[in-house]
Amino acid sequence: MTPPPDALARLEAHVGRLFVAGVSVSSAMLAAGLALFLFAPDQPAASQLLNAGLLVLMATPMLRVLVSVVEYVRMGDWFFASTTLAVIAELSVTVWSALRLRG
Amino acid sequence: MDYPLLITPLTVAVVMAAGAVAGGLGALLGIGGGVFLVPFLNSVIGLPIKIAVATSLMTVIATSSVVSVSTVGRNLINLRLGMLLEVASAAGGVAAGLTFHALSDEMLFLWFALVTGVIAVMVLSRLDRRNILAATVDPGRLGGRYYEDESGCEVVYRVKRLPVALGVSALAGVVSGSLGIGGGILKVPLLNAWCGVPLRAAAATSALMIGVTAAASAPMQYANHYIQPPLAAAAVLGVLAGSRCGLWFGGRAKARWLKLLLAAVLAIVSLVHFAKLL
Repeated sequence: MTPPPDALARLEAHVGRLFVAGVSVSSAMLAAGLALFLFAPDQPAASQLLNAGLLVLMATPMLRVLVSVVEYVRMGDWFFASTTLAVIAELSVTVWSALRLRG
Repeated sequence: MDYPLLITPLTVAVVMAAGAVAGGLGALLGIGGGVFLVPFLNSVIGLPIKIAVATSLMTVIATSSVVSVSTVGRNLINLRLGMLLEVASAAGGVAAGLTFHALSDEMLFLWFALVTGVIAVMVLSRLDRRNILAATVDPGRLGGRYYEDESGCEVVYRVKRLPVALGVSALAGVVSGSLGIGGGILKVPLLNAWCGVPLRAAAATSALMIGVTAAASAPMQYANHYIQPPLAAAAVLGVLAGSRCGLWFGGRAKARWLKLLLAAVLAIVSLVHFAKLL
């Protein structure tokens, strides 16, 4: 079975918009955080912005996987919906382990 | 603010410039910038190898997002193949993320040298292979088709040897999480050489995958404090700028030259890391 090309094109377009948003938000935060770190290092906002920017950057590909699940379910493509869910399960293991370590 | 390393404005500037160069080359070759950035941060700036790896891993995520945006709408990204291989590569990434803390520096150097050396030889041995079928052929469930500007033709391909692609993706995930080099460095030549995917489609699909693969181990590096926020920010911003230049040039370069450049870079990186062990 080959999926309808318009459905895959729609998924690709969603993914593209998500990447643009993720990269724009994270790079703005990182640039602002880095500028504060260099010119006003005592501001707590420097560290907050840098860490938030890095977290947004890490979350962007994870969100892409979530968007993909939704689209594959809408296409009724259960094989690819389940492979995508498997990736989400794997990512959850890392996020959970990291939260335990930090928390 | 307390960081275990002294981070000066000069360090930030050098890391940002290195990120720009690494990002440019990485985008050009579809392998992420880590293969250049890790040796530079470690050998030239003197950062501990694990901090170099973790910093690079963040730039891999940034490169993945930027390169993927640039290829959206051109049918180069094979979303279905990518998603399937991500199951394996993310598993490798998770495994590497969970065990990274326990690896020794020597183990990392040897691993880096071996991986890059083997791939350089593989790319060189298959310089003129094209992996393209007639436009009327059904690409199957996992294959794809796209329009190639260089030849002005529609390119159709089928995916061969899927278990091999899955195995290598898992290995690429381990490489990504333990060496910070994206893992595209393994997948692109292999998808091209053994699985029938044309170089441009392999590079675009891999670029999409390396983001999730890196995100499968990056939270652990972050939690273990191997990611130093100011250095990671400088590297990411540099890589973002460099990637855009690399993409602009990559669209105009011939596949054969891209392969030769890739092989040359890999050979140099491999030799440098073997030399470190002597």
